[in-house]
Amino acid sequence: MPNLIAKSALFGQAPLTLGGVTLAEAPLGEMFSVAGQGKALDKALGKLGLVMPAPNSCAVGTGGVIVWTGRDQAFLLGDGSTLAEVAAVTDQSDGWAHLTLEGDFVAVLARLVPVDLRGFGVGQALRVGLGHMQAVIFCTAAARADLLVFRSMARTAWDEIAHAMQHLAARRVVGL
Amino acid sequence: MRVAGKGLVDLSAPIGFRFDGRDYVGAEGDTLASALLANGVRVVGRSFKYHRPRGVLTAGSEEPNAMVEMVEGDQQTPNVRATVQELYQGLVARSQNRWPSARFDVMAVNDFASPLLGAGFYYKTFMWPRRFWEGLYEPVIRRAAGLGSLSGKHDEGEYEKAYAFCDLLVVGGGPAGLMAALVAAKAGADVILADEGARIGGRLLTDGETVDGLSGPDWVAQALAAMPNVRVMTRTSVTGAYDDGTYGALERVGLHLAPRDHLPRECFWRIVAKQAVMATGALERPIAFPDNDRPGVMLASGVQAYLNRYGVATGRRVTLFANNEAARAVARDLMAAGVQVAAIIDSREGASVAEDCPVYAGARVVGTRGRLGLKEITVAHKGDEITIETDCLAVSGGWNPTLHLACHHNGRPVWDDGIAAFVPKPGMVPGLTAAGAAAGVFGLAACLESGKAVGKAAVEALGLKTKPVKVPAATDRAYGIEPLWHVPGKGGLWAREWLDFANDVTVKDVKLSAQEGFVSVEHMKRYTTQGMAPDQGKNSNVAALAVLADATGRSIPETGTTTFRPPYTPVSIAAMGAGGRGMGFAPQRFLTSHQASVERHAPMIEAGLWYRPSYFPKPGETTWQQACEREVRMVRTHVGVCDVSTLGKIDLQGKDAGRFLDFVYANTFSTLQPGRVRYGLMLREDGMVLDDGTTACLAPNHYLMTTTTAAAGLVMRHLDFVKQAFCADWDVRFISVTEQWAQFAVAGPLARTLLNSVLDQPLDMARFPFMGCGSVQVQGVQARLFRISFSGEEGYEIAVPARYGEALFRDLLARAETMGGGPYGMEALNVLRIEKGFLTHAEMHGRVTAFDLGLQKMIAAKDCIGKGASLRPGLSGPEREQLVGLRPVQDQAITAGAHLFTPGDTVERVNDQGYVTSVGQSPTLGGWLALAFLKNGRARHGENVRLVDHLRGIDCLCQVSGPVFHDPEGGKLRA
Repeated sequence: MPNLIAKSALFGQAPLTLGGVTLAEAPLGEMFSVAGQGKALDKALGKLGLVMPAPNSCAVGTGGVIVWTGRDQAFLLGDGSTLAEVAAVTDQSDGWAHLTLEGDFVAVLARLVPVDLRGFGVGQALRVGLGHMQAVIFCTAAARADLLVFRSMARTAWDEIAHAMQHLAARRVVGL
Repeated sequence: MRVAGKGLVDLSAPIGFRFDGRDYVGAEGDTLASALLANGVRVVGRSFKYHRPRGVLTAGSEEPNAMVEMVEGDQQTPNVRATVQELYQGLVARSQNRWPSARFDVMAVNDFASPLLGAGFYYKTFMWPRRFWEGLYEPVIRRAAGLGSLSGKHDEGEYEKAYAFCDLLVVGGGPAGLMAALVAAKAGADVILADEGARIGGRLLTDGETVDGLSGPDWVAQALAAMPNVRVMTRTSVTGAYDDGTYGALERVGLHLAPRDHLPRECFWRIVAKQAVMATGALERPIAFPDNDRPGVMLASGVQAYLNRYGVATGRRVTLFANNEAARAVARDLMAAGVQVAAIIDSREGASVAEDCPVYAGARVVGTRGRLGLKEITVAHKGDEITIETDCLAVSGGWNPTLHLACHHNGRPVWDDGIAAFVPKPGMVPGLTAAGAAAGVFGLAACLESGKAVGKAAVEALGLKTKPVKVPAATDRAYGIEPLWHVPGKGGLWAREWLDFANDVTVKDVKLSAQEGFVSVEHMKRYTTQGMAPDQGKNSNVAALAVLADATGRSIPETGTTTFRPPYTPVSIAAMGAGGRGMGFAPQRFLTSHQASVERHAPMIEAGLWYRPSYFPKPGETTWQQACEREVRMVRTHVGVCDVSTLGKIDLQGKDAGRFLDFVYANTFSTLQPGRVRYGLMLREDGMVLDDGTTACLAPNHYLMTTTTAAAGLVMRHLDFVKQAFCADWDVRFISVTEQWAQFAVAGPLARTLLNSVLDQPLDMARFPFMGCGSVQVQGVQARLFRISFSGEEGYEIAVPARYGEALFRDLLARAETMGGGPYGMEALNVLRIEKGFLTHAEMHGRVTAFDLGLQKMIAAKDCIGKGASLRPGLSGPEREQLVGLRPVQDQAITAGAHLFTPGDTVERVNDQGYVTSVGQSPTLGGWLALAFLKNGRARHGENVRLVDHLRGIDCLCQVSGPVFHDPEGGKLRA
């Protein structure tokens, strides 16, 4: 049993709701990068109810959520240690801050993300710039976006997203 | 004054505002310009150069005269067009370029000196003495000329940036744009309709024409209701056409309202559209006649807009001066509203005289009077001169299609003789098609038809099916233009006919330009500054080049246009840089130990994007130097703890991982056994050193590479390139784990004791000799331990998952302090590594080879990136500057950046022997130490060199040694 206190990147940060959108830090969980290809990997993933996701996609299985993040590479939000025999697996649980945006997130992200988010929905994933940093954005439920950013940059990411939400909320007040 | 029953403003909603210190009342729906005109304010500013009183000329974003400073608390925005600025309660504005007031301006003396102040006068006049230009002439001229002023404070306003994507972008919400949007919306396209105005409708709001039996505004409302799926962006000026269907647009988000918390002033949009329709309409052009710049001389379309949209009569007795038939509608609208029209001056010989007011056909305005506002005009008619008392002269010199966007890829428009104007050619910007007046199609019915046709073509280009859309009933007014650009005056020193109101450029200036040989339109522009003011020549370009054409005996199309560049209307830098102010410039990267360091008052130093503690001051320490020296001694005698998580960590796996490391590192890694760490040197393809670091073998076919903090991204990119370009088929995968692990250096003679106090099991020293590594358990957490040292002492780096970083850091610090140790920062780390002769990117600065660093033996027999290139002649040998250590012969401060000379040589470039890269004041050895690159340095140990820093005035003798000052045998590392 660990005797050291664990802290998430934005430990103690209360969720922020503005203009019908809620920004929150997801609880600390497990996340592994899985890199590779081949039948053995497919079979092992199959046991988790998953497949290696196609570019720009994500999926939910019994073993967790799998998100495409690059060439032959995906992040498994779940226990990836069982895949270590059949793929290059690294623990990324603490390397990324996990934020969620619930509500009409498209308008918020359109302030920070330079890609077309029309039709971005369940089952889709992006590896994309968020302001001046890189991010992984994926969607596993309607009206909710999950964002992964480097842990060290979590404060900047939060501030920039919150700022965009403030702008939108202020626009709404004056009917814009 | 207001005209009863006219306009779209709500007079029941009065709005108080302040202009030049006086309070006025306007109405909901007013612009600042319309409210000032309604209040009878005629002089709204002074001109750029001659300080002539100026009034409102237009009702649009092209306004050259009515530019004001907006004042909102600390915020002061210059050059705001009063014709664009919407009125809000409490608005405060003031006129520009005048002292003490717009009505009485001391600098108007310039106007009396105007015969001396023609184009180019200061370049010719203020030439001698030469050095006076920067110090005296230019500042004085700049103060005398100019527009608005800045507050000199930071702009603390809120600005926004955003991205939008659509199938079709319709630029301009007039009749043509509305029809195009309607057609596309019906076909199911995703449409953005952007218009710079506060309301959609364009000239339908101002021309008083009917569509399908409805008034213009009513039809607009009906049309918008019929396309609920269109994203309508009002107050949004599309400012530029860029590559691949990308358009820049500036939205005035909150500028029409009193400032509110968090409401952005402006938003800069990047809109990506598969197709675009340019339905930007046309801009009316003035005619250059003598003294045509008086307050009260306005564009006819402006007079009409103020009447029909804002319910304001711009004069009590208005005169119309036009060279076309269409402008007659303005006089008719005025008369219908009960405003007296003194006369219509029609420059066309055969023009009809059948109006309800006097009409002078074949006549011209040849003079005006009234310094602070027009009083009368002189008209030349059939050999006679008639004087007409009038306080507003509505001028129409015809219309220029607003084709700027189409020219942003440097396509040149073509001249259309039929309308005496330039029109866009198809295909100037791929995917962008002009419709309506922007395409040179004048007349309401024709514009509606054109909008439909262009919208249909855009829908087809999108691969969608069009649905039938009926073109509403409307009529075309005859245009009937006969060009008239310039009405010459009687001559005389003070006689001028203005072309460019905003920059005070007259016909005389353009003629002077031609006379002086600046006959190309681009040269004329630069010589006269015509078209270089905030309106960018929207009111003057075509007339100026018509005058130039006349002066040079060429036709207008032969003369050609100047280059159209984005932005179409001024864009504030604050909007383009939204989010980038202050700390928004770049993300901040914080360590897990950040809070603990801040609590210890450690000043932060930026390393790349990371914030690292510089030193940890103790009570009584007043300088960083004191803290740094204490921390160095602490590490050398007890134990120090330092957060080194910023170093890049790359996890490599696969059966070819060792082979891959052999390929990217100069030295061999495939022989490295699990549980062992090796120092590695990486070369660029050109043979120079890229980076260094250690790589650990965690398990068979599983390695962990570390990079320097600054080069983490660079090395990752390099590895990606090598893998993809040279060995894509190798079984190796790598990924950054920099952020996954919080890693702390524990260094000093008591390092092992400190670690043993936190580890669940004492260190098994058989597993952890110098350069050993392995997994350990710290308070129940699986950790990685590396026995490596960047200080020269017995050193370890312990890594735990980042979530435990802060807890472990605080714990290590508390224990270290109990043992007489504590945290150390970047300053101490730097001194420690200089004492030990370890490298950073101060030494590996991109121009050094392994040979220069004395590491040439690390280049193994196997092949590796950069090996071949490193063997090139000139990259090794005695002529190279080689890494050495330096100590001043008599201790004194020395500096990085200083250059080295052989004693006795003159201090000049040709005798340069090398340079200093790093210095530090060593408490361990007592005195200053430096690392430097010295020609043939390794053969010169023991010699003296002369160190000269011209910048800081340092000149001293230093003794050359090897770069390792502290424990050269390395006994302490291996203890």
